[in-house]
Amino acid sequence: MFAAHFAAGLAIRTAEPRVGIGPLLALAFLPDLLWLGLSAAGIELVAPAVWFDGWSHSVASILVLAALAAASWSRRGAGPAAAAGGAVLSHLPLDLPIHPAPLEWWPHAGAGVGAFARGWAGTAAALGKTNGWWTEAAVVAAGLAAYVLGARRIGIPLASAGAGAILVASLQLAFG
Amino acid sequence: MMTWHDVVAQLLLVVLPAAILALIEAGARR
Repeated sequence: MFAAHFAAGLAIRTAEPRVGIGPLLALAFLPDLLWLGLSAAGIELVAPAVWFDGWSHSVASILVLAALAAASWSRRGAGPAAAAGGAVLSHLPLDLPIHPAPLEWWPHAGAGVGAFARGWAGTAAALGKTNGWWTEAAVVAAGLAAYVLGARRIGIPLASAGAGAILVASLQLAFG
Repeated sequence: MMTWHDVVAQLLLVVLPAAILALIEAGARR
């Protein structure tokens, strides 16, 4: 998923405004950011026949990253620690159903979980989009609704939150 | 294996929207 990670970061932002939007989005994308570097270095493999992303996207790796993020923000209190850890952890349920391959339990475990909806996700659905696209669109819509509805509570005017939501919705339309 | 061009392009797809979202928030708080 892509736009859904933005939506998750924004939704968490309204729940815990003491963690900035930049760090929250970086944490929501942390496994993907690691994946980019590791793939370029040849440590993780992107060819479908030899797909391997266990260091950045295994269940254990994401749990460890979430724990490290929570520990890094723990000095600011339980709320920020939970938000930081939760932002990383959100990557797990969002990627689990339709990742290119099952998420390994730990790097090089050889076994994993997820990708169970991959076949269904690739099936064509309404308006020329796939089931996977519509699933992500629903997740994006829910996250953006939480952001827009909660924005005023953390001092962000509705118009500004709406502009941010339109940007993320556009990302889903263009790249989802 | 991904090239560094691919990495930069994908990185910008995350960084640029995140920067716009941060700017929107920063502008709203002024």
